[in-house]
Amino acid sequence: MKINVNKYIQIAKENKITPFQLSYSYTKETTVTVFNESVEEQTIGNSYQLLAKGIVNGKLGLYSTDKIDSSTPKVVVENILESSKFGKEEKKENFFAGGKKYKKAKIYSPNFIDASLSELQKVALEISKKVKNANPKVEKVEVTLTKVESEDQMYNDLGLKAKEKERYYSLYVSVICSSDNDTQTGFDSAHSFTSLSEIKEKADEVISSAIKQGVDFINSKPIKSGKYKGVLSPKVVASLLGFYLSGLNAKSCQKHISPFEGKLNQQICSKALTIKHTPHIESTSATSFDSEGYPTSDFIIIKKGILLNYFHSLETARNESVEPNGCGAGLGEAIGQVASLMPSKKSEEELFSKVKKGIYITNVKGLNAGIDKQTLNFSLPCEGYEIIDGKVSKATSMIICSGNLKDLFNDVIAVSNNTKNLSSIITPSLLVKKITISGN
Amino acid sequence: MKISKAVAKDVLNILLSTGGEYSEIYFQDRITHNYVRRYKQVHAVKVSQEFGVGLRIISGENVVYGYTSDLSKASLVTLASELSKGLNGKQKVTCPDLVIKKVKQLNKIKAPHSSWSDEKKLMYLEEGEKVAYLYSPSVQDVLASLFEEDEHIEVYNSEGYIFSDDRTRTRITGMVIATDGKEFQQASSGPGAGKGIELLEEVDFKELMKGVAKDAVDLLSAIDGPSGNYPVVIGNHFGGVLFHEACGHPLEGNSISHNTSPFANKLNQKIASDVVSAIDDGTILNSWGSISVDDEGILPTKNQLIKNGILTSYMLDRYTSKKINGKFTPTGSCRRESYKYIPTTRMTNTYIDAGSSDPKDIIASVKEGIYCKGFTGGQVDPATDQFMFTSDIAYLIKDGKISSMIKPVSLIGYGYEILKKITMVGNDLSIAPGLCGSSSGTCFVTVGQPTLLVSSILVGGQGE
Repeated sequence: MKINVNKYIQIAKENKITPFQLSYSYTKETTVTVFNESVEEQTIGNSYQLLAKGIVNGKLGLYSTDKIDSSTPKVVVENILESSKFGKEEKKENFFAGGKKYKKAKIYSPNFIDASLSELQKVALEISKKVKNANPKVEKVEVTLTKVESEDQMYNDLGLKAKEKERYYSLYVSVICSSDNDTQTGFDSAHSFTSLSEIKEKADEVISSAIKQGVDFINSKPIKSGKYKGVLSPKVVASLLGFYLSGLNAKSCQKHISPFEGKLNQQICSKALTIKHTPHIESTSATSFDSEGYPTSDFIIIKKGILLNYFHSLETARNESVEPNGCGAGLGEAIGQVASLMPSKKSEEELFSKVKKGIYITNVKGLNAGIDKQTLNFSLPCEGYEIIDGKVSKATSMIICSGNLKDLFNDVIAVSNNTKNLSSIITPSLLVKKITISGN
Repeated sequence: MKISKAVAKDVLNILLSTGGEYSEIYFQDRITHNYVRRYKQVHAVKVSQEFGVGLRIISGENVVYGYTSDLSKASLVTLASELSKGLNGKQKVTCPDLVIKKVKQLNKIKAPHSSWSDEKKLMYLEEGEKVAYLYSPSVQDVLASLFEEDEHIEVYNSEGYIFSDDRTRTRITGMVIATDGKEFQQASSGPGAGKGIELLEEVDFKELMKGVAKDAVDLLSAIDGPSGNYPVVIGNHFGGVLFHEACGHPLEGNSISHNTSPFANKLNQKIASDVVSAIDDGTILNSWGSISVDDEGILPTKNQLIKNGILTSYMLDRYTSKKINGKFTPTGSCRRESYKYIPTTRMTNTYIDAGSSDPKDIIASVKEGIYCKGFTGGQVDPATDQFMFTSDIAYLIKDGKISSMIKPVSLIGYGYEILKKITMVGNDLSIAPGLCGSSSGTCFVTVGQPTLLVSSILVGGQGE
């Protein structure tokens, strides 16, 4: 379905809506879910979404719809007029007029090999069979294979024109493992921006990781409550770092509700940490422009623990007389797209070797409830392994780790080299001085 | 009807053409209005529309699903043909002429959202905001928001029926961030109902915002919570998140039909202590989680899940009820966030029923423990029944009395163990609105319970 952008802009102009901006996205998803070696669900979805915003008499109107037909331009304009009557006071400068170059994100490969629904089925069934045969403790397995094709476009009457396409396959494997009257679950995922063959290549690692999670924790016990020196796996670091970095939203700092306000060029975390904004890397969170249409950019967020950049929208950048950095998230808020924590040359085993008695945390849960984005306090169920005399030992679960993310990232002693791409965060493991564990 | 009977019948028959036993068209037109005040000004007034259809075929244990926001006949026929290729049998069932099956609208709306002007709604929010700022100079930021939903859904199915439901929901939310210059704390509250704008007249928003501001400011001087196993008194209202996570999800059709729930095959068996009775009831008038008909055209029910500790029922939909062994009937709680999701069994208004204990006696019975009064949410792995929830407003109990406030803590356990550790249930049942995310997206649900005592549960605080 194509939209006539000029028609929208023309009707908006006739109704004195200026600036007027239109974001249009189309997504086609094809998904196959296999449960215990039988195809259970097949989904083909086509969806469109139109997001419009505009200023009328200095106030912002906002409207979104996925109903797109010949009546939509008129409906969009009517709703912008209505919602702007008492809307947010807004400035023209908070609309990007275009004119800058976009660096392509690696999310649309010309070498992408298209696969049909039946090919997805075949591969999902093969993977499901592999999982079932990999370990006798695997009782149930669910494999979900998805092909996503999408296109985002953004236009406004000031001259903005931005377009981006994305297509990829994603694989999600979850297992239920049972033995000795105990049941545990495991899961892992992978993506490919080129082909199902690549998904098949990555599947072995995904399967082994999901099964390891399930099998290792059967009949595992909680460790004693206390403060432990520990290693956090890439998955755990990614979960926690996303919340930590959200505090670098320049809007929160300008409104005096961020613990990082006024900390630019100051040490905010361990010297072991250097974190870069890498929005063009091959990742499902990568993008070449932000929600304001501004080009995303590569920059250093934190260098050796020193905060070098906040995330800026057009509004926050103007307030501080700095250049926007393509992190606009709407209504002046700002967020990073993809952050990469720089690895060291040390292996993960070298990190373990620095721990006489401690814990290796491999999974945290309850992120929707157990982290306070404002205070950065956390109290999260977790699982992992004891570390004894520098070696990974028995699995432990049904424990809670707690603390404050500022303290945790301040307490980082070392970074390893086992970098994992976990969508919006690319990171290796971290060795931390101490973490509070509630257990036995 | 948004789709003509003739087109719907054609599409349903195309969906059945390759051996499907059941086919369905789900239409959704959902308009939401969001009014937000933040940073002492109007932050957003936004209108959104979700509009589209989901087509579903069920054949044995196979589900084929597709969705589109293009409602033209050509688009629907093309999608139906594409989906029918997901099966490879011959037509066994034919869709008869469609008839409209009238559904009694459950929620009576006294005042539609349009009966208040945008200006009046924003003034209402501003008044609450002012009270929060005036409460204390420590209050740094206040968010006051109003969410309105007006949704119309239609279900056309191959049994020859058309159902429709008009769903109206309203929610007001207050959030306060306080600081003492060293740290920040936040608190929030968000009453909501299957009501129109009359909800705003029923809720004393100024009083609510004062309470939220008090909680945020009090948290600045809260001490670290303890770490380890303690007796925990879980307050009523949103305390129902305990049952929602620990037992509600594992009783949903998806887990039961896959035989991946610890409660599968446990009907008529003792799974909880005698004082526990629990219900999922999609028929509560004007409740946040109520529906007049579910998203596959089944009427909602008052479903007694547990009676005096005995498991008496599951929550099931067409697909999962048939998948178990065909002896069960759907319980009218098949739901989805939008037309983009395959529907499945979800909770509606789920609560632990009132007991006989006085809440004061419950607290007085604890020598050393925790009283959890406010909650942010939770999570469960339905296969293992390992659950967690976080209490953001909680206090120590010492010698039967509520003592110091503690910083937010998470609590974890196995649902099947915790249900047996509920030793006292209060007489102060209260329900609260929430949002639940699961396989068919984010659904509006109500949780609830009276004040109750869990004899021991792991608490994850930073203190000793």
